[in-house]
Amino acid sequence: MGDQPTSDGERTPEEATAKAAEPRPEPDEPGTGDAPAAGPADSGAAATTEEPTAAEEPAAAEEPPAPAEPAVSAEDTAVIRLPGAPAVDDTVLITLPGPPSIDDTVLITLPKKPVGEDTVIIRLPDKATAAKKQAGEDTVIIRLPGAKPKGAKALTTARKRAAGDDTVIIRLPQAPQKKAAGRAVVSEPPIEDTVLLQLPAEPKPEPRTALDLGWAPWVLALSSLGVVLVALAYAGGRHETGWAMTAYWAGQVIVFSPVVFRLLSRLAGVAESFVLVMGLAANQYMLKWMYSPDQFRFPDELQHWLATTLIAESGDLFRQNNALPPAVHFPGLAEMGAGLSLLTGLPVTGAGTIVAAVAHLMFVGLLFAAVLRASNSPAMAGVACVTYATAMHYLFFNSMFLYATAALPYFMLTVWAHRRWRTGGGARFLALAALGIAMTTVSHHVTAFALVATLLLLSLTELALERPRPWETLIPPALALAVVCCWIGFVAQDVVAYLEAPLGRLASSLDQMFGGAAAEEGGPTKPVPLAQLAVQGLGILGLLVLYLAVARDMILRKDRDTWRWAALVGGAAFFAGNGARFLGSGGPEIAGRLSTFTYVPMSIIAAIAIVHAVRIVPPKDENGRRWLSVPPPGVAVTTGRRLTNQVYIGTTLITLLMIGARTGGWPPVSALLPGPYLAAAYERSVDDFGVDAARWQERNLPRESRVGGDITAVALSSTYGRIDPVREVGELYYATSWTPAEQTIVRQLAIDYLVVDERLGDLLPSDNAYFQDDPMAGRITEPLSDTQLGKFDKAAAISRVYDNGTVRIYRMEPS
Amino acid sequence: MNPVRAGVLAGLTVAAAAAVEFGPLVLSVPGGLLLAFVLPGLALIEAIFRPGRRDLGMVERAVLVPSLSLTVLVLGGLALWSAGGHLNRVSWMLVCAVTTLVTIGVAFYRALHAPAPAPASAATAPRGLSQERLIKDVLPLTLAVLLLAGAGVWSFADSVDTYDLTVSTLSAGQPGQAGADGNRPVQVSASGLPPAEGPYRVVLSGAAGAELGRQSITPGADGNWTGRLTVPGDERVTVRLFRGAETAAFRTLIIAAAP
Repeated sequence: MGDQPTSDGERTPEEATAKAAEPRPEPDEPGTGDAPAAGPADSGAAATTEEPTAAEEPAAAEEPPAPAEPAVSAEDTAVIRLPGAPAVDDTVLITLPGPPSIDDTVLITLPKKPVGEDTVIIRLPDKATAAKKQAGEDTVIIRLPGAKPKGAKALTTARKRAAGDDTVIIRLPQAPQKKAAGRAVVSEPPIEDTVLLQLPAEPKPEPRTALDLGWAPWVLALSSLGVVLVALAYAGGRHETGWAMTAYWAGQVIVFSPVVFRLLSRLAGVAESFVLVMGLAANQYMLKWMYSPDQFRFPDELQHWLATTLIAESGDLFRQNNALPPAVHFPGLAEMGAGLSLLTGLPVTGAGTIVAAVAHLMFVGLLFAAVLRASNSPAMAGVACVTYATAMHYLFFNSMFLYATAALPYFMLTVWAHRRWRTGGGARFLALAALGIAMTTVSHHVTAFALVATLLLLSLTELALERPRPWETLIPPALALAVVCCWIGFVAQDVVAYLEAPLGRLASSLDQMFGGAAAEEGGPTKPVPLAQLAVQGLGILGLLVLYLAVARDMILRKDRDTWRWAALVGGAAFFAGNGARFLGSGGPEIAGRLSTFTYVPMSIIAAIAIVHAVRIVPPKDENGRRWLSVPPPGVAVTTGRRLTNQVYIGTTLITLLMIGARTGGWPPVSALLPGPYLAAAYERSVDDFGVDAARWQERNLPRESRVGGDITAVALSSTYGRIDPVREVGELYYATSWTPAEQTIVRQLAIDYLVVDERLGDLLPSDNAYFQDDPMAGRITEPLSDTQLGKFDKAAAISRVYDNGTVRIYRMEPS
Repeated sequence: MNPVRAGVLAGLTVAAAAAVEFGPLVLSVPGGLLLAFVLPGLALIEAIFRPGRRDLGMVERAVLVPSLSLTVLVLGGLALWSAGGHLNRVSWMLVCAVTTLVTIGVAFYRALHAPAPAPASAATAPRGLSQERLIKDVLPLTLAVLLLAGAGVWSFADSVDTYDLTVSTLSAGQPGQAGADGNRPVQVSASGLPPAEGPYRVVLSGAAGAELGRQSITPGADGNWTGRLTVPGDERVTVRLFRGAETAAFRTLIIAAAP
């Protein structure tokens, strides 16, 4: 993905883009790293980057510089700054390395030094080629820095430019003394293939500072209006108003799309892009938090609330947590929450909310940092981040107070540190990677496995593409594998059994699909609405098109950038993971969880395609080949109408992906808004009746009591109630009378208490099942009957020991 | 790390630790947040990265500060517990504060023995708060923060108002052993009973529906009541709570016969 130019310790990406107008050396100088390597990720910005020296960037210097290709800039606009001092020679010589593209794209290589006075000379490479150009293809637009306002010119076309704008338009068909638009005058070429431009004197453009926030504050203010709209929608949902859903979708789009639009305009520098991305992440976290601001309601969050509370109360790690036993041995999140709660004096819920927010922002920031280092393009880093924000689980699961939320930033930290180490950052970055591996391992099992796989992928691609083979690249994956194996082998042995069940289901589904095994008995699942399917399908299709375009581009360019290839392989894993949606009832959940990791490379691929406008339908070459035509070298510098179209189309596509993620992610469409109680609907099922029953259990029942109930009751009893939950109790509730068969089940499962919510008799379950491992899953056509719910009151050996008018608790008496 | 910077960081660390240990909530919250998310990370960055070299960009520095701080919290806590320590406010405060102070010392020592840093780059932020910056940056960011804060506070209040209910409950403990008369004592409790909706009474009835007894109850100001009832040990007993003049039971318990 290009290489960062800044690990030389002299210039950071911010400084590189802040000095955007400096003329740069010839690209074929040694020590240019992989920035000029052929490929779309070398964001097209020759004038804005400074490469590391060979002495200070040994790893980067090993990469062979690509011949005759321009180095690239953080923005897709070639920026030429004339030397400021009047006495200094202020002419820039621009040599076109090949024929101009047939569209409004020109590749410009800046020479070592400027010559002449107030003049840009463009040498046309080949008169014969130039003669082939058609009308409309004869314009080169060179954008000069110091725009005022800086952000306003992205979407203007050549025709709209007026005097005072800082864009020079050069018409290539040479006519003597032809006056071009604006302030540039094209004079007779001094030699046959040269166009000479005389630039009028103008004030020195204001340099961009490293902390220039551009339009980010105003864009974020607009985005915050969307947050207010969603807050209104949530309130409307709580009070069951009709307009709430409209306000919700309008708010979601207003929160998201302005940021995407601004990032896609490619005018934002590092600081502006970073502020935009972090502001969007903060705003989207607000959307998650405002759903249930006063307490955790999602069962998994409650499980980690208990784990945190146990540490805060006892001062011990690895205390038994019946709600989620494997989480005991991955205490990263719980330590963060307990530590913050103890240090600040805040309740665990407040501390957990802050920890989840910080972890979420850290993850986004580290993703931005990693892509920025890899591409040296704030536009690419920003677009990758906003594309990742359309992942299915991004808004809720990856922002919740869950152990994966704590592990994800360290997953990304390790990837970033690995990148810095491999590009000559030194051993300190390897040490940071080791810290990241340790933190990921003690925080979440699946993320730790994904980290091992990711590091292995990065190493293998490097080994496959680099000569001589850099065997030291295997150190991080080997270290990660060793740490993860040691942790699971010595500390978290129970995670093997915990993961066996879902892996078994996955294997069973694969066997049914490919091996012809008989399908498990199960009812039909609730059909997904057609509109929802269409939105999600269009989004995935759009991503597939972008993926194939980038893949074609890389293959035909004979791209050898290791990170781009790793991203391409990871993107393929994303599509394979989406196939898991069709693997039985657990398929969508597996696909969603996989996408948390596989969507990272997919987002990078999408960003490459969108930012660099990789040709989806390439033009025919001179041999009449379209799909096998070799893309022009270097990176397209897109301007004018084409850039305008890209911004609009890109914003539309990413917004579509976001809408697809909201409809297919969490919460489900039926519970997108908070509101009154729904049966077996996770967050929507937690209210004071259930919580009070659970609190009563915590105060009155022994910790070893085994309590059964529906999905919500079990979640609350095992967390607020702190008892031992029994989940597979559906048969006891579906029975119409209490018989010895039910007594046998009670004995077998060693059940002490059952929680019965009488609302199960009024409402159908939102997710096809009232209970975990529900024997009637997918076949429930009517709520539980009074007979089914009332049989507990008639059984001689059962006492009703708690009643709050809605929830009852029954004690199984010894018979 | 120059002496002034090291001194400020060390002073801030000591102040934050003191606020955590001795301060009221209004001080312990910012102190705790600094110790958990900021100070250890800042000190570690200064200690790890060579003075005078700008190995890290602004973005990387911004994300590394909380990342490394939380690493100290988690791995430090893990190490402390493994060494037999107890994880409480003092120990976690010491883990964070001592780590920060030690790494400040390391950074200071390295700075003393490192060559003088190169002069800063020409790309510097404008000094002061110009009117342009006020309009371009501060005003919209303030607006954004106010909008978010307003939406957050209002959402919180709306959620509490919507979901915070007074739940009226009736519950029973485990019955005691039957006495010589065959009766068992059972502790019965009620909560969330608004006095204004009373009077309340408890009625006991046997398996055949015959009334075994009744008792008026008077909840306290907090709406709670608890009392000991005596029920037959060999009979299944229903305990009904009635409210005001209502004829249907408000809450019901069932006590199974002794096995």
